[in-house]
Amino acid sequence: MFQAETVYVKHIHSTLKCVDFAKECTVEITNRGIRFGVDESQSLQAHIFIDRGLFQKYIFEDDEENSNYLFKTRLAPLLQCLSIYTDGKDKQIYNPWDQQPSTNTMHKRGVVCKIHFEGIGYPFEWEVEEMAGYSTICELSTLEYEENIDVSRLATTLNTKVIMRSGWLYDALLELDNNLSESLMIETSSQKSTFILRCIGGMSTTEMEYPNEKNVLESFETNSEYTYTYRFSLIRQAIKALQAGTKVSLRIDENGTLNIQLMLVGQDGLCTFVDFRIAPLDLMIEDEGDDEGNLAENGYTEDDNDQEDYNTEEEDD
Amino acid sequence: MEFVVSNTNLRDLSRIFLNLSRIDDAVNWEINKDQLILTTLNSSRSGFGKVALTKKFFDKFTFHPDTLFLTGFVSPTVRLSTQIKPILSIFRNKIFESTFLVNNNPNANTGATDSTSKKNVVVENIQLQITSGKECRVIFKFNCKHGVIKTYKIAYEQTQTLQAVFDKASCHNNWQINSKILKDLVEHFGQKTEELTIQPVHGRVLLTSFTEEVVHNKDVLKQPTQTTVSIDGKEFEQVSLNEGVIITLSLKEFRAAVLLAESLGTSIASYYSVSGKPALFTFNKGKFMEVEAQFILATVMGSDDYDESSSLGARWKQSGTANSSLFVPENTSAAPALNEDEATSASIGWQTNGDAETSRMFHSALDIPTNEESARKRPKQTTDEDNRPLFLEGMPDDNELMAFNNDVADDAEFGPTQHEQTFHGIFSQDDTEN
Repeated sequence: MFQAETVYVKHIHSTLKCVDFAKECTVEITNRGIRFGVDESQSLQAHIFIDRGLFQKYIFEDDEENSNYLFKTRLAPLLQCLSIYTDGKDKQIYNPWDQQPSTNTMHKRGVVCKIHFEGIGYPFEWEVEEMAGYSTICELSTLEYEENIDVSRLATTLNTKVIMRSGWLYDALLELDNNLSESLMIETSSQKSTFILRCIGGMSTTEMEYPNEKNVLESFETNSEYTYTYRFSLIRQAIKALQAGTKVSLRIDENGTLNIQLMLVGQDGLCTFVDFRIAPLDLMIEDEGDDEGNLAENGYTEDDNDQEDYNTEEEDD
Repeated sequence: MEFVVSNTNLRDLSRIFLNLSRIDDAVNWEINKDQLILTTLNSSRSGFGKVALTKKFFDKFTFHPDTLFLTGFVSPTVRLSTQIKPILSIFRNKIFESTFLVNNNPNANTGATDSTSKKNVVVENIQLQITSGKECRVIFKFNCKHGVIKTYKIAYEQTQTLQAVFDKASCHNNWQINSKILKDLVEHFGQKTEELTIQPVHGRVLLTSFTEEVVHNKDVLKQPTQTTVSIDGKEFEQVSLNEGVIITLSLKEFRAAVLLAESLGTSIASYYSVSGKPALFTFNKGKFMEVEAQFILATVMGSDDYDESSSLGARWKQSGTANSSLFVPENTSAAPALNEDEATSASIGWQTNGDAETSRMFHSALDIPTNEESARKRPKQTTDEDNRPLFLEGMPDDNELMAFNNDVADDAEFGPTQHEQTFHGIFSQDDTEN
C-alpha cells in the first residue's frame, strides 16, 4: 500500500509534462520516491524521479514480495487533471516576453494532492483538492509491467560532460529546429574548448558554438574531438522539457549515448530531475549492427542495480 | 568576400529583410565594390523593392569575388538569389546590442540584472560571408556575447536581377511625409485589404482601401468595407499634386514600404505621374545615405476620361509647414470641367436620399432609398473636423467616383457582378432587398 500527500502540485505537473510524449508510462514506486519512465522507438528513454522529500506525507508499506511497485499506466489523463489546478500558461520565471498575469485563481488558496495505490492490480489514484472545496479524483488504471530493454544505459566512461543553463539550450535547439533537418550533431573539441551544436537542413545549415566560459557553460569537460549525431525527432521531445528547466547537464558516453539531465527547480527550492537518454545514430564502435541490441548486451545488469546507480548519478548532480 | 554589420545597423538589417519578405519569398543580392543591394520582385511583377546598402553601412566591407562569379560589364558585380524565409527565422528572437542597452523593462525576469539569465544571447555583430565552389552558401555568423557564435549557412543560386525602370523626372505628382504618420494611418486598414487608392481632395490626401468581400452563406454582415483616411496637407513635409490624379495600388507592397520607412525612422517620399504608370516610394537613412530604399509599385490603370481630367485638375503644391491653399484660380477653372462630368455620372455610385447635404458615411437600413438602380455607395469622409463639408458642391467628386467605378469594373473580383448588387451598409438585413 502506498499513500502520499503533497502541496507541490504545480511543480509535479510541470515535471510530468516534460515526458508527456509517449502513450504509456512506467511507474515505479519505492521507498525513496516515485519514478516515471517513458520510452520511444527504443532509442529514447526519459525518466522522472520525484523524490520523497517533495511529499509532506509519504507512506510506503512494503509487501513481502516487493520492495517496489512496478506498473504501467497512462499519463495523459493525470496531466489533464493536474492542469485544472495549475495555470494555463505553465511557464517558469525566466520568460519576460511570455509573462502574463495569473488568471487561475483556483490555486491561490492552496492545493493538496493525495496519491494512493493499494497494490498491483488496483488503480493508481490521485485526488487533488483545492482548499475552497473543489476536488478532482483521477483514477488511472494500471497495466502489468513489461520489462523493457533498458536501452540507453550509460557506460562508465564519459566522453563529454557539459552543464549549462537550460534556457540557452532550449533556445539553441529551437533555432536548430527551424532547419527541419533529420539529425542533430554535437561536436566537442577539447583543443578549442568549444561545444558545437549543428543541424544540416535542405536549404540551410545552422551551427551554434559555445565557448568554455564561466558565463556560458558552467562546466565543460571533454576528452575527445568527436561529432555525435542524434535523430532530431527524439531531441525534439526533450525541447519542451528544457523550457521548464533551470539547468541542464549533457553527458555523452563512449558509445555515444546522450544523457540529458534536466533540473527543475520548483517551489521552495525543491528540485526534480528529468532524465533523457538518447541513442546515437552513428556508433563509435565498429559494429554497425543493431545498435540497441548491442547496448542491451553490453554490461546491463538487473533492474535493481540500474536503479541504484541511477539514483547515485542524480545525487552527484 | 566579407561584410560586417554591427550596432543599430543590425536592427535595420533585420527590418529590411522582414519588409522585403512581404513582397516576395526570394531576395536578390547584388554586390559590387561599393554597395550591397537587396531587391525583391513579387510574382505578378507588380511590386519591386530595392534597398541599397553602401559601404558605410558596414563595419567592414571587402569585395574580392571569385572571378567565376562576376557578371556585369560596367563594374564587377555578384548576383545571387536566396530564399528569404530562412533569413527571417535567423533574425527572429535575436536581441541586438543597441536594444539591449536601452532595455530597462521593469517587468523583465527576476534575474534581470544578470545578463546571462536572459534567454536569448545578445548579438554583437554579424559577419556575412559568401562562399562558392563546392558549397554555395551565404554565411551569416552571429557573434554574440560571451563568445557564443551562431552560424547560419544559407544556400543561394546565381541569378540575373531585374531592375525596375522608373523615370522620376516625368513624375509631376509627389509628396513627402513622415513615415510614422503614414504607418499609424495605414494600420487602420484591415489585414485583408487588397487595394489602396490615393487621391488629393481639397487640401487633403485621401487614402481609401477596399476590402475583399467575404461571401459566407449569404452572410450579409460581411460586406466589402471601404475605409477612407484623410491626411491634412499640413502633415506632409512636401506636397505637389494634381487634383484629380488618383492612383490605386496594392496595399501589401505599400505597407511593406511604409513599415520599413517607419522602422528606419525616416520620412517617405512618393513620385508618380498618372494611374497606370508605376509609382515610386523612396526613403533613405543615414547622413551618408547608407541605406537607400526604393519601392516601385504598379498602379491600376484608370479610364481615358479620367486621364484628361488629371491634366485639367487643380494643382496643389505645398512644402514645409506653410499653410497650403488651393490655387484658387485654377480651381474654379477646373470646376466646370468637373461639373460636366457630374451630370452624366449622377446616377452611378452615389446613393442619395434626395438631400445631398446630409450625405453620410454609412447607409442605414432605416433609410428608404430613392434610387432603385443605385449601385455601390462609397462612404467618404464628407465633413472635416469642424463639420464643414469638404466637398464644395455637396456632392462627391464624380470624377473620383467614376474612376473608382472603372477600377472596380476592371477588377475581375469585384467587377461587373457588383454593379447589380445594391450595396448595403453594415446595418442592413438580407430581406430588405433594395
